[in-house]
Amino acid sequence: MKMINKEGKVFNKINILDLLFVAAIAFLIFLSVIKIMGKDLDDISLDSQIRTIEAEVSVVMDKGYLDTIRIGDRLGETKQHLDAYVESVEIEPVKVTNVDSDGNPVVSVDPLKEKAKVVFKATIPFESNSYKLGKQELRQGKIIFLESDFYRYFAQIESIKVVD
Amino acid sequence: MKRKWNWVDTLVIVLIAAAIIVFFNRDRVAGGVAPTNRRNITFTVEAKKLPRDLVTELKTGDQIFSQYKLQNAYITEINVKPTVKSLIADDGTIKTYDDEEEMVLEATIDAEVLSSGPYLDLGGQEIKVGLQFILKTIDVEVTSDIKHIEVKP
Repeated sequence: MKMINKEGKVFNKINILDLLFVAAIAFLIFLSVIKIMGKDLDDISLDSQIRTIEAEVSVVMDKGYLDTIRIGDRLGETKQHLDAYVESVEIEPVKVTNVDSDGNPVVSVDPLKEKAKVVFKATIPFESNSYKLGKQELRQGKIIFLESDFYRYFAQIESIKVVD
Repeated sequence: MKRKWNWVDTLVIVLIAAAIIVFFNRDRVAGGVAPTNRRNITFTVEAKKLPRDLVTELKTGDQIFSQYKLQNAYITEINVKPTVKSLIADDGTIKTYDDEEEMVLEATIDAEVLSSGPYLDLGGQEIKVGLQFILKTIDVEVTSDIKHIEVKP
């Protein structure tokens, strides 16, 4: 028996065009479900686990721009809060190395900049070998958005520790 | 007997499946992710690299203008100061000096904003430290950086 007969029917039952139409509708429903669940196609993974991590990130900005970060701030992404909270914040001077008139290196403090070292704890999915803070993958050295209700900074991940 | 494919039955099954999915995700379908609320905040912006004689029209009490209408946001404080710049001295350290020809305008604004989750909106602009803000009144429009935000009690 042929799979598609002369009339274009698959297994003599349904027209190939009808079958394609049904498949397209099913795919659209599948995409809608993914959208409703707030996920991407990339998020569909069978090995997803929930883990609690503690990440340390650093943010360098002009002086006066980092006072808004507070312990307890809930992190988020666009219009969605995440299960992630700021555990500690330390504001430090930014050190730079220049040379003096004799060509000797001199370490000094940049008087116009400051650095925040922020530790946040997050309970997030671990899937496809990646910790996902919203849509952002977390890896040491990566630049991410550190975002709460009141700020969105570029932050570099210095360390990630699995807590639970 | 040859059985025909019944499209009406198929459509009913699809609709029932869609209704079940929507029911179990009704919170997300209803409001996206978070309900929209109003919040009163005070935020400070800094407009940099301005010529000395610019923005003389800006004054305390001016209302923020955007999307062709005056917003519920008022300038409560204005501070114009010279730009602090830096240079590397002979000893290799960084020194600062005031550039009197390039001014920084610092404005504090009391505003009622719309919030949805961590998203704050004032006249179509997202309000967050680290983002730019078009400081626009009926008389003045300059690009600024949001420097600080406080929630008003």
